Amino acid sequence: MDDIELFKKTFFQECADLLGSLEAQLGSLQSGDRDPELVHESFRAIHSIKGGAGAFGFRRLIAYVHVMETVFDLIRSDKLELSDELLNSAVRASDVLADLVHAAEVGQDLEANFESAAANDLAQAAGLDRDQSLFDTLASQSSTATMSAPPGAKRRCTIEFQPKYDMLRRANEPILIVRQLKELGDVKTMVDTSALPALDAIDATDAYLAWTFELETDAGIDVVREAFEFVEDDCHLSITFEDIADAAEPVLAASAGGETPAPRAISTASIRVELERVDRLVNLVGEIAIGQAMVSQQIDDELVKTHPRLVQELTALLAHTHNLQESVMAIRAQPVKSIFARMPRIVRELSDQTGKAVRIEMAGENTEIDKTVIEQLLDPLTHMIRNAVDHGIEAPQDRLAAGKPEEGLIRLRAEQRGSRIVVEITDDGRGIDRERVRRKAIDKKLIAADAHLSDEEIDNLIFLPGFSTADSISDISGRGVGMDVVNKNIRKLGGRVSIRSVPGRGSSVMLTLPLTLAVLDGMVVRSGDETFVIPLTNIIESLLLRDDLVNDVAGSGKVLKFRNEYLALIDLKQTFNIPAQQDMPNELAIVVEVEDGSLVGLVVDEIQGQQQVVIKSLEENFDVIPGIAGATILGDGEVALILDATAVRELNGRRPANSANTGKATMENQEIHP
Amino acid sequence: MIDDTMQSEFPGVMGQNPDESSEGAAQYVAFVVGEQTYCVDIMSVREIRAWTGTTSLPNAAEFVRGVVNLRGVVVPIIDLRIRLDQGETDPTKSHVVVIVMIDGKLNGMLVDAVSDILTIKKTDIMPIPDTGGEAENPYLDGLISVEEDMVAMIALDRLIERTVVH
Repeated sequence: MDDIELFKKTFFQECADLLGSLEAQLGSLQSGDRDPELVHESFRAIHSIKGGAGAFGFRRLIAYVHVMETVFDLIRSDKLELSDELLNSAVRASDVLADLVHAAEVGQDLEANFESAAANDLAQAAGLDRDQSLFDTLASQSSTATMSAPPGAKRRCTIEFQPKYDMLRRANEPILIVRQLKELGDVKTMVDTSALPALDAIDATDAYLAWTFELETDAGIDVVREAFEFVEDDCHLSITFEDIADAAEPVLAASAGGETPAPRAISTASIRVELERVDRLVNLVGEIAIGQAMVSQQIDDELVKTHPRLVQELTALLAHTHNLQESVMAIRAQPVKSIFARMPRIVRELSDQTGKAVRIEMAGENTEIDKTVIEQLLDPLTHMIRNAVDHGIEAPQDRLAAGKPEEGLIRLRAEQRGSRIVVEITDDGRGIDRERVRRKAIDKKLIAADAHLSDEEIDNLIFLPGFSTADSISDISGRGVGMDVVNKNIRKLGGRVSIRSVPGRGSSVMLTLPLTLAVLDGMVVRSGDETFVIPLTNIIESLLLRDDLVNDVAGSGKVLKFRNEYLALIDLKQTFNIPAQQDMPNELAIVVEVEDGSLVGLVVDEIQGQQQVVIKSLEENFDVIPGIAGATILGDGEVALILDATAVRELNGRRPANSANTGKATMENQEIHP
Repeated sequence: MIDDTMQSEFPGVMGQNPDESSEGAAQYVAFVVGEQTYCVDIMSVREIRAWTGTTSLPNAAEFVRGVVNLRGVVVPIIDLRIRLDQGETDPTKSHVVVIVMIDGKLNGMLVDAVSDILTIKKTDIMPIPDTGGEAENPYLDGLISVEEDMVAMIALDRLIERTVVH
């Protein structure tokens, strides 16, 4: 990737942030907040996009953004009142802006008047009637500019380029410019060495040479100028175009120092770092954490006695390592705002398409969560919002008939609960039609016709693979991918989805997600020869399995009496087909809380200790394993698997009578006949 | 500004044998499982290391011996002997794991020993004849005759199919 492409990429990354910010500001304004800072912030975002678009010569984008900039400049200086109508136009204009930016990014050619309706609408709402031609003028200018360089028509471009003293000292390299010109077409280069002094008088950092390039190209002046973008202020530059056919008069001329884009405001509060670098740091710190675990295993009473200072310093070092790790993890954390901010647009577009009136309310946008989780949350979240509008919210007349307000309401909320993030999507629509879901599940042979299911169980059937309730395959949701895909994606992240619904009142989908995919505090346990890590957040208590606490229940296996409750006991050996060791009298139970809040006892052989572990992906090189949330590397360098208690319980419920031997046999059979 | 000469410091691995690839020849790492020699494209081989114990994976197919820690990365180890339906390897310290990249995923193949590096022309790779038997081996891609010995080429992409039993 050449430099320009690299900078362009950065520009579009910034655009994404800026558009997100713009959307957020406009959203707050729409909710009635008239804080002037919101307008200022919107203006700054628009202005920055325009600045960048100018630097890269995206003329169509510039023309459009200019209208928005003009309008927000008027609002910001109190020359224009921000009416609801104007605000609505601005919101729609920002949607179109996002499309234009995207088109510029992927190099897509939009229809000629794609953006004109939105631009004119905004100009009109802003009362810029006399300037109504503002956009059209700008747009036609931009099209003339591109017109003058019809594709395929080669023109001769003469470039006079004379570096000033400072150019080389600022680490600019003329050869790069020449190379870039060469990419545009055939270049004839003439060098003027007249300023070159005698050898002994040469200052190696000075610039003595001047060049004249004759370039035959079909590129426009903007593209040619791009080559000189970083040296424009440090050189004398003149670019002249003439048509090759009739080499008559120069078409466009430009000299350096002319219309350089306004310098963008530099914010020192944050820096942009490639995710890959952060990941490398996270991995390194992870390795340090493993090393730390190894070191702490070496500290024993003997060492404390013989080398007290050493132990003291080591302990301090360990504390620092722990802090370091937490700080590094915090780098990856981002507010969910970045994806929440995209939802209002989706709701707007959908309510237009479906003719339903829907409003979205958001809370907890500043809840922070790991960047990787955020990225993978976008699709499931979008899908669920679409579902809520498409299937949840009723048509306006149905709502009125049901005695509800005409406008449907979707609430999107994020909050941190312990080491997990809970995202909830609630709508006040019709709720799940349990009878239909049930019939459908029977039709699709997902459940038996005579199955007795609780309301909650029926609601959660929609997460089963291949289930989709939309009667017609609409444009919006229900193309065969449904909530089962959401469920799968969220599970992949180590999260969980559940739904609650009250017929006629609405539904609420709850996602619980891990705060980070990188580390967790865990208890290291042993079952047979295998070592597992149980996330500490799940653990309620660990206790010795005394005979009087354990009872056999016919058909349900063993149960454990715990705080006046009977809990299911799950032996990890049975769940994971681990061969039992001889004489193992000291069975222990770890009481864990699973996702729905109920408690389960996990039977293990030994508790080896408690430590913070770095979560390693199994999917990276292998695949998802039911019951296992991931892997980690212990202090001795061995790999241990991290248990997913909820999945372990489900695994157990599904195959209660699976003994170790039959399990193995079915595995082989399935394997031999793929 | 990033100097474009930086790129030359990171040459693509593919660029290392331009002469050979132009003649349609490539290098292969040969290894032994039992009596038979097998090979894989050297470009897919990341490293070769001695056998170490694995952590077994529940519900994984039998040919997956488990996972090991490869400098902080969790890598599954495939027992090639089981995969090729020739029994089970009883690994010792002298057994070798060939770490290969398959479809962007790192996998280790447990083999008896690494024997050679072969340079083989594409045209010398012969298809596996239809022996009429039902047990056609789906994990081989072709046969090569090297000095009177037959070397079988492993079909890496099919090797890691169906690793988890759901």
